[in-house]
Amino acid sequence: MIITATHGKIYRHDEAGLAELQAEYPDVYAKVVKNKPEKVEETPKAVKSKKRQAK
Amino acid sequence: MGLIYKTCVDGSFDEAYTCDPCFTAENGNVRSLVLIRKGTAIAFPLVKFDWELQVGLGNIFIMPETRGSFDGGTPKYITGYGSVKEKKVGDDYVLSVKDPNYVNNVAFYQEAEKHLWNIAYLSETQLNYVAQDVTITAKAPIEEDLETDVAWNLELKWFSKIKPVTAAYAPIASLFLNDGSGFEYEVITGLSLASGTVTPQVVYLQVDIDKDCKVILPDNTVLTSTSGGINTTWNGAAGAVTLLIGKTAIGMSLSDGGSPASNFIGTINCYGSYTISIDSCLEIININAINSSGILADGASNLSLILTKNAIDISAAGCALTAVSIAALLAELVATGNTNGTLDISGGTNADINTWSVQANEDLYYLINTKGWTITYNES
Repeated sequence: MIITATHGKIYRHDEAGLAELQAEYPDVYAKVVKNKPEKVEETPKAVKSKKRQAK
Repeated sequence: MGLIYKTCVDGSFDEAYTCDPCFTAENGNVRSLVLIRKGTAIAFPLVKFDWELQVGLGNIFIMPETRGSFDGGTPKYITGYGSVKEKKVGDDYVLSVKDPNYVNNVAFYQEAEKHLWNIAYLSETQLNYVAQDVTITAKAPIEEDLETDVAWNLELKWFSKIKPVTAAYAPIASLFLNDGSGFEYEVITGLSLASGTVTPQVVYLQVDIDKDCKVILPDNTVLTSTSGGINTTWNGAAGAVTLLIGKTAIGMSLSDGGSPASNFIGTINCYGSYTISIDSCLEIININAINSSGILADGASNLSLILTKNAIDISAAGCALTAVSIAALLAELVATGNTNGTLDISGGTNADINTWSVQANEDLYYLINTKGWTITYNES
């Protein structure tokens, strides 16, 4: 699994995580998926990793 | 068996003496010192590009501002034969130089003392070149005086049958500016090419289209860019290559979006601030680009180490960065303290965060939470 950590939060590169990232930080989303053509079709609920929740 | 008499040419003398009624006297002081690694060829007349290259390769060290004197040599005699009482065999020479760059050069001079050198030194207009084995001793005494400088006192000694070779140093004068502004190129070392005799090896280098770059191939052929680019193949034997990047270039790339991608092998060692792109360059193993402002290495699947401190946009997706190298990279970024950067070390065989050190994890969180970085990584 690929993880993006930004603005104090962790976003998984699954549908839910990427959708959340796109909604909250579209500029970051655009950058981290630059070579990854998959599109997030739905708006899932937020996912936060307890283990990797940024301090 | 008869007696054979060979012709002796010692008595010949065909050198002309130059008498110039309009001469301008050469003024003294050893104004600059150059340490040259043994075996480094110096051509006359002096060629600036050759010197730039050798400085970049670490074969020539220029101390641009020195003070000192040259003793001109002390004749060394041996007992003569026949009616000749003694015969001169050469001279012992001593060059005494003060280098004011005391701070940070202990390790350099410590190491320099262990080697034999060729040297050059400047008087007013002349470069004096010594191709013999030269020893160097370096001392940095400190006077009991608040107003004296602490400098490296260098004593360079050699024996030679010939006097130093002199030539006007005007062609390379700009290399002796003490801010390095006279250099036109940044030299990238650490790379090589495999044999291209069976499979031609891709040689691709692109800088800004209005800038200049060069590639020195294993056979010492120098390729020069057109519109900032070089795109060819190497068909010869394996060997080292050197890249030269115009110092004002903003970016350099070894790959055009992955196709073509250079077949350069090994490590990119450079000090320039330009961005570096090596996406899909499969044989690049390390990047040591401490001052680079950005690195794009996506798909460089054997890249295991990136050392940089100033880059604020680093993309190494699909690489092979180890946990140790990730820790070192994060530590450098933390130490530099740049803000709002982007780092992508996901995919490929980049080390999983669960294999990182505790310090690397702490550095990750620090960059994200305190410095505004966005970091993308692997987690199993």
